[in-house]
Amino acid sequence: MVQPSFSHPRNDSSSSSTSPSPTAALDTFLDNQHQSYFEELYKSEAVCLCILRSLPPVCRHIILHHLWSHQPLRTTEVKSFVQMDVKASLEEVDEVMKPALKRKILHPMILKKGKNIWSSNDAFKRGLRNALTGLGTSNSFGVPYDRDDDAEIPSQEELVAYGEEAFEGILKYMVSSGLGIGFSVARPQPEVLELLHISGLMTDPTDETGQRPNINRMTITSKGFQFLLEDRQTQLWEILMYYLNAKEANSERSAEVLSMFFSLGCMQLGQDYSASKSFPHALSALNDLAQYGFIYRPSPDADQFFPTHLATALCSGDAATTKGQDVDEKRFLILETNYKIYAYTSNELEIAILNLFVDIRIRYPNLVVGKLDRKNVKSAMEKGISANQIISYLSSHAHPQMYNSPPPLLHPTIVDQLHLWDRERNRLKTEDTVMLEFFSKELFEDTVNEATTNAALQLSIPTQKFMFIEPQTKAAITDFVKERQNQLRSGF
Amino acid sequence: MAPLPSSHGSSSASHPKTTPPSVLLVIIDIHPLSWSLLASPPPLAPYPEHLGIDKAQASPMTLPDFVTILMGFLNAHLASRWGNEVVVYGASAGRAKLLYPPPSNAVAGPSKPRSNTYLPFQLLDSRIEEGLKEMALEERERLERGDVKSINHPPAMVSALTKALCFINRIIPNNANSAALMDPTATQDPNAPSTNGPDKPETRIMVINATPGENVSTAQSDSNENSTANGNTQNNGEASQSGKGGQMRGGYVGLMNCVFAAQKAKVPIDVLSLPPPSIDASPPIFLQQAAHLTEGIYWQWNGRGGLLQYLHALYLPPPSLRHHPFVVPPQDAVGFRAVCFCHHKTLDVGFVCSVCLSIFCEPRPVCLMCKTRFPIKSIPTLKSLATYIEPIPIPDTVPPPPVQKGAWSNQPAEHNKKERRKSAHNGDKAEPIEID
Amino acid sequence: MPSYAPAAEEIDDDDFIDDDDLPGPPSRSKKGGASGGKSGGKGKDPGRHAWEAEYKKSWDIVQEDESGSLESAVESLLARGRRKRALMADTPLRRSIIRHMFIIMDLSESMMDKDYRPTRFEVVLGYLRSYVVEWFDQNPLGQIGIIIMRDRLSEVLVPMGGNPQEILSVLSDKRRLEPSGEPSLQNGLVMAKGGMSHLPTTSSLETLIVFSSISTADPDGPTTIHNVLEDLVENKIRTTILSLAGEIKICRSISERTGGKFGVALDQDHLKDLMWETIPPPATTIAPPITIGVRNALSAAGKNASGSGGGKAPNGDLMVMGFPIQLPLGGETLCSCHGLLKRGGYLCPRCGSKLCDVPTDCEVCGLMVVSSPHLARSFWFLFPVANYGVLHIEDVMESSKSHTCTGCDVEFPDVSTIEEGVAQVEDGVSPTGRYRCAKCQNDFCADCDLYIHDTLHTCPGCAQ
Repeated sequence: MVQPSFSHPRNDSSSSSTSPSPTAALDTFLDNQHQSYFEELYKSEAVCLCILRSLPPVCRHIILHHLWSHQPLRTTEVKSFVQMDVKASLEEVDEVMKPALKRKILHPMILKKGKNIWSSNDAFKRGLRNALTGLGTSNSFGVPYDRDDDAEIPSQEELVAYGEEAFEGILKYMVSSGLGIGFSVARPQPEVLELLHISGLMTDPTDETGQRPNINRMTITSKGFQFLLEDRQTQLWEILMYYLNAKEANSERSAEVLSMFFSLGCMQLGQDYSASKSFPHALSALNDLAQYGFIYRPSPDADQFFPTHLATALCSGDAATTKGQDVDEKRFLILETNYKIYAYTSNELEIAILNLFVDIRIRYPNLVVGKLDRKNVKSAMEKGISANQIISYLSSHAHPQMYNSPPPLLHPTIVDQLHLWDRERNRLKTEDTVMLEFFSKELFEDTVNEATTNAALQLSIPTQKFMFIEPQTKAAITDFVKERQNQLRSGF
Repeated sequence: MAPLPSSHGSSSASHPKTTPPSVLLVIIDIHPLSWSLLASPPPLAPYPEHLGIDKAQASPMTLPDFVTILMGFLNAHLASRWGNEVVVYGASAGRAKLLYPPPSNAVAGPSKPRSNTYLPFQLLDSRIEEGLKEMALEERERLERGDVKSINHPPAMVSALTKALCFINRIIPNNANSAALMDPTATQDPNAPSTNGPDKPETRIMVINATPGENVSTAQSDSNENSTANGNTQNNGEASQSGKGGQMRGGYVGLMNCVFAAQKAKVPIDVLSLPPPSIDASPPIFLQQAAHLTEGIYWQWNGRGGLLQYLHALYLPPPSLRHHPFVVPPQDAVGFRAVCFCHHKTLDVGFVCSVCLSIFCEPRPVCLMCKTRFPIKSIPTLKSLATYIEPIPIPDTVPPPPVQKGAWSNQPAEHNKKERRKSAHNGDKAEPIEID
Repeated sequence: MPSYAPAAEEIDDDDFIDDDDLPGPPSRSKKGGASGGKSGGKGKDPGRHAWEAEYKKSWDIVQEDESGSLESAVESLLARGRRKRALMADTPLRRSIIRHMFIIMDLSESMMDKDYRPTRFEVVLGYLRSYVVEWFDQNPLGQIGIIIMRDRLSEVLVPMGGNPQEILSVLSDKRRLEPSGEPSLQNGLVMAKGGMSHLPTTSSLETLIVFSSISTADPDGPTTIHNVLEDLVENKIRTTILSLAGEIKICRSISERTGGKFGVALDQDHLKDLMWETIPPPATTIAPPITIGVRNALSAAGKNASGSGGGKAPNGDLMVMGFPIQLPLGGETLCSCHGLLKRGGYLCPRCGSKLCDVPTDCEVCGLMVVSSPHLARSFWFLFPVANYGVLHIEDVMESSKSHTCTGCDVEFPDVSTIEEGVAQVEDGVSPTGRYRCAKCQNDFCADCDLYIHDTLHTCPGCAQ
């Protein structure tokens, strides 16, 4: 019996469902930015609002608590808010406010008139106050498009369908490139494929150098498979960050484009906005986003655009993404302890993703029944998907019914087994080697000693007098063997 | 929500990573008479012990001013988490009405989103404004119809509270019962994660009281009294009797029923009492009781401005953060007084029927509610006992709650004294129910 | 040497088919399943025994609608179940508010039967825990004790007391409660009677027996269970027996003679229903409506009640009670009851001395000090909300006052879309989804109707 050596499977499984924040990609990006970048960002009220919401609750409420005060925030105040000991060290207090410090909402702690204070970033404070009172001037919540009253506008459902189709089209293309099973998938725009390549989600296997890929012959990479299993919001932010890094890395417009992302996140589904008035400096980026389904434009060069649910859900915080049926549709999996999976879905993409690691046995119009088995899971793992990713996929798509049974959500048996399969994959590793076979026991032992001292020995089997050595030491060892052989012979 | 043990010096590691979405139900008292009082407050009595604060003048508070402040607060609530929601009820003289969210068939909304306002904020603000105007208009119509008397009704807090609780019951259906049905072996562990779904919203009610004095809930019964006494013949048997009773005591009993329902649903009732001590010294004790019993926050405005900061500081944190890691602001002493069933007086000491636990302010031979006969012999004894009831003021040794940021009201001792005198010396009202 | 008294009349196993194992699509909500199971079992004529009634298959009740979906059928079943609870009779005015109850739990080997999942023992224990909480919620002035019966002995697990936390902590210790042997009903009842003998018969004395076995092993001797029964009747101890197994003659006669209820649980849900039925205070029918006083009952000491002028009142009493002021957790002051420095506490309204906890008698002036919310808990019995009437389509057409529920402001279904044929007025389910308060003429939705009558006890319309 293999003893599982992974640290804490339970902890893993419980944390994997919550810990990776959907905005992880954004967070790492922001963590690496400088003060001036944030100053630029905080000119937009929408950014202030979204950044505030991305803070952990305690920090968030302290910021809000302090919003209307004229004084800088004192450490003693924070200590009393969070019931900290008066004598608690400054580092501890600083730790509480760290997320705000990292986002440059507060300036680093200074000692002033005998008190430790954080002074707040005026740009942020002003931005947030304006966001709450609606007194801003930056048009960051989007300028509505001035249309005729009788003009026909798409309904919310149509917008959702449009966005869904556009984005899932990309995902489907990725899946089908890897599985070789064909759905009839339209090929995404060249720019999209280029980005997929740059980000490493897809690659052209025939292209050795990786420099000049043929974007029409790309297949999905293991990173791409991992990407598929993420939840939607994570995927969106990853794509956006790849985009930002690729397109705007060295440009000064980066902050503007990023603040446009946040603005889109604060817009209303079903409302049309004017592109030129809302984002005068980021028009080309807005055009690019249309290719991913973030926005819908009635005609390609119109000034009018509608954000789709992909855009408006960008900032909707933690687990609760969008309300209503959208969430329910994502919760379709019932996993039994006998490894059987019932998936109440008819979404081709989801079925294709499930097919990556589930042996699908039965397909009904709205139900797929399959089984998690070793063969399929291992083949998925060979594609680069890890056990934790499967587990987080399963738990984020769990049917509401599964929440009715006592926690944990996924039965430990299954979680453990997935981890075991993951381990199993790592049990064997291949190495190049050179095998030497000996007839003389003395010679064998001497050579083994020699090889051990030179760290060339991989394995020795004394009973059969086999030894395996590192290939690059072959010449040296054979020299040694010959020399030693001569010595032994001459000795007799 | 995980109320972790708050160890001193706990680092931020123990702070919750996320909070459930929070629904805030606000009940605004928009009684016209109360607001006219608030708009022209008498000058503040200076605090001898807080000389520095004397500089702040008594600031009049008009309804539009307050609504602006309230909107800032509600926007901050919406801003603090995605998925947070706001429900607003208006309570006016004898009526309560849902102001926000608007009924789904009447979604006219603002014609156009403004480019500098987050659309949910804009919807909320404009709809509340609209709703308040509507209610004010109705109120005016009522006056013009010559229905002057009805304007003297106290605000329908109880009605608003029941509405709010029904609303909560709808969005979070009676989970306790069904959960117990589902899993009888489940332990009654409050710390256990809820199994009802991944993200159950937490709710809280916030009552903004503008009506001075304790008549918030009790005076209402007086107004109903006449109509019912005339409408029903007295000895109609139990049905009419109980029916009448229910209406008469709608105030106190209704409020207490709401409190128990809120307790059961674990919904805190926060109370913000606007009338500063200069208008009326006595706190709305039953609202205070409600806040105390449901672990809500009670605070009385001191009449010196700064409301927006206070709202943010005291009332913004959601219930899941209130006890850990944050702290609930210190609360005043709470009077657990009750209202008698016969004259609706607020009592410190009362006579209680041993069978049905009805409360009376004076000894009587027969229980009004359950018709139990009491021994006549004991009435003189009881009477004499009652006359000895001389209220004793709260001793000065009781430390006032620590004053935070300006003046916390530290006058309950004085108020209670006054009140009790009042209650002890007005026993000459006509009795509504005849004794057979 | 105990004699075995086979007390069961007949037990028909067919009657206890497990209704919970209905085949159903996994996506169906559990609620639906539960109600389907419940309604299957309740085909009981009052005149006939349960096993004589024709067996109703629970799936017969459920009928598909035109589109072949079960949803509407399940919905209406749910609604009907709710209505049944909402339509409980108007509460009588006079109820025993001061209750003393012994819960006698059968811990015989039969409790390990697995017909309830996982075992009867686990199920009963789980229900008891929530039962105790709910009971104290509705009877804040009552007291509960727990007696267990096993190995032909009975043992007081928790003495009579008013602290739910204490009871819960004992009930959560499963190792102490390992079922074994046979139960002795007689011993259990004698112990309960003894435990309540010092209490005034004027407060409501009750026992609730959860009986799992089908026989009782009582001691051999001059006293039989029938003598005990006579004692119970004499002492006016109301005995309610809930059997998990089947109807047992002696149990039925005990509960009938003492004025309690006897019930056989059909399944887990039914057991819960039966248990929960005993939570609201019983109407005082057998015990005459006399009580010496809360003070006596509370302290259970039985001394003379101060201020009530002697305890032998024929028809109840007026008691003088004071409502205290609770102090904030400021500095420490001396309390009058223990003479210790403590934070917080209550001030007696008459003499101003500080007390640690209420309800209690003031140490200085002897006033009974109670917290008014404690009293107010029971006021809903005095001012019950009248049942709401159903509204027919015509009624709505005539007086369409508002389109939303007065309680939760949810919109009612449009009247014009309701088909005359589909809507059946059965079991008090309103065809229009509206229920009208007779007093204030406001309309409510079914959810609010239930909530207002079950929990809130105040009509939002009448409170205006």
